[in-house]
Amino acid sequence: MIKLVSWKTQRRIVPYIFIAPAMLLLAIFTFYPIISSIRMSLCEWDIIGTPRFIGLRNYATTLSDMTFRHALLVTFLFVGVTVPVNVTLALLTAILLNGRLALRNLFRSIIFFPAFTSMVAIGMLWKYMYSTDYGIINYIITLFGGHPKDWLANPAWAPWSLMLTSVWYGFGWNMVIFLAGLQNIPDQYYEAAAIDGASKWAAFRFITLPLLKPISLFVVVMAVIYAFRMFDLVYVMTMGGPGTSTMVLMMYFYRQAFIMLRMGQGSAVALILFVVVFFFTVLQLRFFKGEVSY
Amino acid sequence: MKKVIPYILAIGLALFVLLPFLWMFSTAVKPLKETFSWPPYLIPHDWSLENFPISVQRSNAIRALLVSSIYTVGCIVLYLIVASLAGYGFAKYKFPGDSILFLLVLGTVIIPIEVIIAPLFMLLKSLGWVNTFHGMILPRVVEPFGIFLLRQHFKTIPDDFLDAARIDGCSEFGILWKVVLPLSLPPLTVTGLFMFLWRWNELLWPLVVGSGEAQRTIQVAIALFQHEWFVEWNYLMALCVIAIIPILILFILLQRYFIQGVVMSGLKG
Amino acid sequence: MSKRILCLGLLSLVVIAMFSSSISMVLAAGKAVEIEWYAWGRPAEVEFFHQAIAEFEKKNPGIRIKLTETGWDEHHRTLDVRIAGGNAPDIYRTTFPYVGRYIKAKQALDLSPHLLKEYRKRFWPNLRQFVESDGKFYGVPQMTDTHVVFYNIDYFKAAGIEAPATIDKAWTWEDWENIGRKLKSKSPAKYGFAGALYNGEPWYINTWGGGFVTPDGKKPDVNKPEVIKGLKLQKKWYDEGLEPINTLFLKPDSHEQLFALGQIGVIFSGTWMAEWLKDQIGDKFKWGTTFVPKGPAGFSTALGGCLNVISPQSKHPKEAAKFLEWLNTDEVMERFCQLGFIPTSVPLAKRISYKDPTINGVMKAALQQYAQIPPIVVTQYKQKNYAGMVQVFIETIGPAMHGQITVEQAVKMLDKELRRLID
Repeated sequence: MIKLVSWKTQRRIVPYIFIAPAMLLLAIFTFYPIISSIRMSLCEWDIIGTPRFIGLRNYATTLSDMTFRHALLVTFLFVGVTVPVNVTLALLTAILLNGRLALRNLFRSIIFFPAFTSMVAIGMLWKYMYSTDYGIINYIITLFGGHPKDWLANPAWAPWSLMLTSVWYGFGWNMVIFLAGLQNIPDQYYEAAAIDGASKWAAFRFITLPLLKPISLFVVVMAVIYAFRMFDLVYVMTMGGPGTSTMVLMMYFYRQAFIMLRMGQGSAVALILFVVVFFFTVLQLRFFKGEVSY
Repeated sequence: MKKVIPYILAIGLALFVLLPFLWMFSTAVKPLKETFSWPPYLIPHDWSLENFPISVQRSNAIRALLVSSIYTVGCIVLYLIVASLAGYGFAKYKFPGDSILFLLVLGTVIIPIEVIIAPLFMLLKSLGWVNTFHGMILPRVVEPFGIFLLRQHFKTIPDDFLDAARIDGCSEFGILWKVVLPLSLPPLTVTGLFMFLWRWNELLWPLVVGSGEAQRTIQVAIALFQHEWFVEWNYLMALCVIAIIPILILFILLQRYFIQGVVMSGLKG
Repeated sequence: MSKRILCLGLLSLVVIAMFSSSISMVLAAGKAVEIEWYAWGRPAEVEFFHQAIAEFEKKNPGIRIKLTETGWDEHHRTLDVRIAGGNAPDIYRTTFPYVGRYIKAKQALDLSPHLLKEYRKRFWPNLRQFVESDGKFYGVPQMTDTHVVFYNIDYFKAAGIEAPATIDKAWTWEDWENIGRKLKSKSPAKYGFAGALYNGEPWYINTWGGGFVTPDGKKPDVNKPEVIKGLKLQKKWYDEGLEPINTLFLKPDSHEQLFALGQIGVIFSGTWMAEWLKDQIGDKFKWGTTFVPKGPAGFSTALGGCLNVISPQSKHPKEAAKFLEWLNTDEVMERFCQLGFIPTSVPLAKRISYKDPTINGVMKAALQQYAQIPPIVVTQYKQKNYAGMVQVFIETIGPAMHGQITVEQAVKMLDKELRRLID
């Protein structure tokens, strides 16, 4: 084969052959369905009937719907709270478990454990625990002399309860990635800092943080994307309620597509969500540009 | 004192994570009428292991575990092949359109499956692939995360290694197979393990595409215990425990590779 | 080397596994006609389905029924996707409010050629309205049910309350409120009652003379003083703690669960919960059943239940119809309804007796009430998107009950949202 095709031609074709299987699968099973859903977003369609072309009306309806605007706000609240909390907690835990600690591996495994389970099962488990009148959490609170709380029943509390579960589920995952980042920092840096008489805080501030920046970017970008996509937990635990207090964008998509039976509008919502997430991702990459090179 | 604080923190965090699981295990060995009580209790009065065989038998869980295994292993094996090929192509070659194509791959991480599920199902139908394993597996093979991870790792392998192999007359695929992959076991393990976690725990896709009992995965079987008006908590939790066990075993076996794998992937930008 | 062999071995295994399903399907496609039946069901129902299928297959060796059991939460969503993909099951189970949509989309087969006229005439006229039009018959009602009131006899004794024995003596909402107060102060119950707003269905506002739609079905019927008065009364109950707000619209906690734990004295719930309540309560306390309370405009309750439909995509409609016909004969239905359902066949409903004494007690109240369900219930169910109406009801009335907005504001919003769903 090498003899038949010149070295240069081979080098030109080979990379495309390498990426071909992945690109082919993506083209058929991701890009093509997206194009169909763009087409659907221009139609009135209740899934089982025949689609009817209505132009951009689905987009207009969506953007003017109060519930959609509310869903957008709720989603920003979720992203704005869970991402910083999740990432900070993950980083601190990673630093803690990167230190010399007996049973270190056991602790790491335990904290990573929630990632082993499905969101649906976790959502059900937490809903069961959050129950006002028979939940274990309220029971523990009363044991310590506190008052039972309406974790999921009160519109003011429900978003925060969901966020707590979401952080519980996700921070172990990010911790593992931070651990990897921490282990990539050579020990010599810390030794040198110690010789110079730098405090532990200074070492953290001037060595750990800057060197972790690239990996933090990765973690933050992924966390933001997943927070925007949050659905399973909401679906299982509150269905967007009480009222619309936990109606995140993906839940709104579900509401329009499968409850209101407007799959066309559902597709439009999904595409709007797509654009929002894309915008935020590019923004973050821009923000960190110059400090990270890919 | 200073030495104790990290332990207190670590134990506190571990308890925070573990308590819900303790509750899960305790529910899994309770009879149905004990699943709700006030005050709730962690240690069942009348515990027994019979929830496990009953839930397994009623939901045909042995078969479901087998289906889940086929689905998951199929996805992992194909993913490792596809992702190492693509990761290598993106890491070690410059070619027209490479950065755009790579961005296109990464961009797919934004798309949740819920959004494309209806058109995807119709596509499968027109291919005649509904209720088949290949129809279930092939659309779910590519995840950008692994391609990214492997690409980052491959970049850290010096080009000299590859050139040496080229001079020895090795083909481009031979280099990947004989030189690069043997150096990449930990990142491959991580990639595979992540895929395992995702696919094993997936609900919506297997539910829609594998609508018959023959294609029912363990997560779909778990959902069967949630009825219109009530939930059979004890059976549901028993099946959850059963679904976690394979992952737990795999994780214990591969733990050594795991963090090392993320480190080696050079996930540092 | 061995590693590579392992890899190749694994790969070939996967390939074989992937295609083995297709192979086995080809092999299985032998002589018998296979009918897929797509249904959700409670454990006892599913057990019955399996028995019934075995019995039917024994009588009809040429037909095989394959039951695909689904979870309720996902049932209609996956069914819709399958229908849209042209891969519909031969027979699917659905509920009365949902079936109209399938009929309209031409996804329900006309069964009049397969079922005799006398056979079709047996069903309750209310139920026939959902499946009959222009002499065509689109689905076979399988079972039906309704809401009743379950009460804790021990608590009632402690508080000196008596439950009405006949339907014309059914409680009013004022009685309901007084009972709640008495239970809360004189019995161990933490809350008086629960469930009048139930799961977002419109029964409560029906009793005040409103509804998702007017009796002619043309516009919403919620923005009126009577409905507002009723909802304000309801809000007062939540504020006073007579009713636990964490069970509003069944989210997140279930009032049936609290009742079974002895925390609520009396609840509004479905007859289908009888079996579950029996298991959960055991001999913790004695409980009984009575009629749902009425408002100024009378009473209202669910015309629940489900039916089976044959998809026009089915390749074997004749065999599928044969199975459905047999499954819903009085003889088979009588056995099925022992699980705690009202028969869909009127002659059977008139003579049925339930072997289980608990279920028999529950059904006595239910059957009396069932025969008098007001026509507005059918009109509401027949709306284009009943589930959507329930959703907007929950989204607007929920915040009002929590005190985030006033009842007047909520009703105005609800009116607007319902209008959009009617057009």
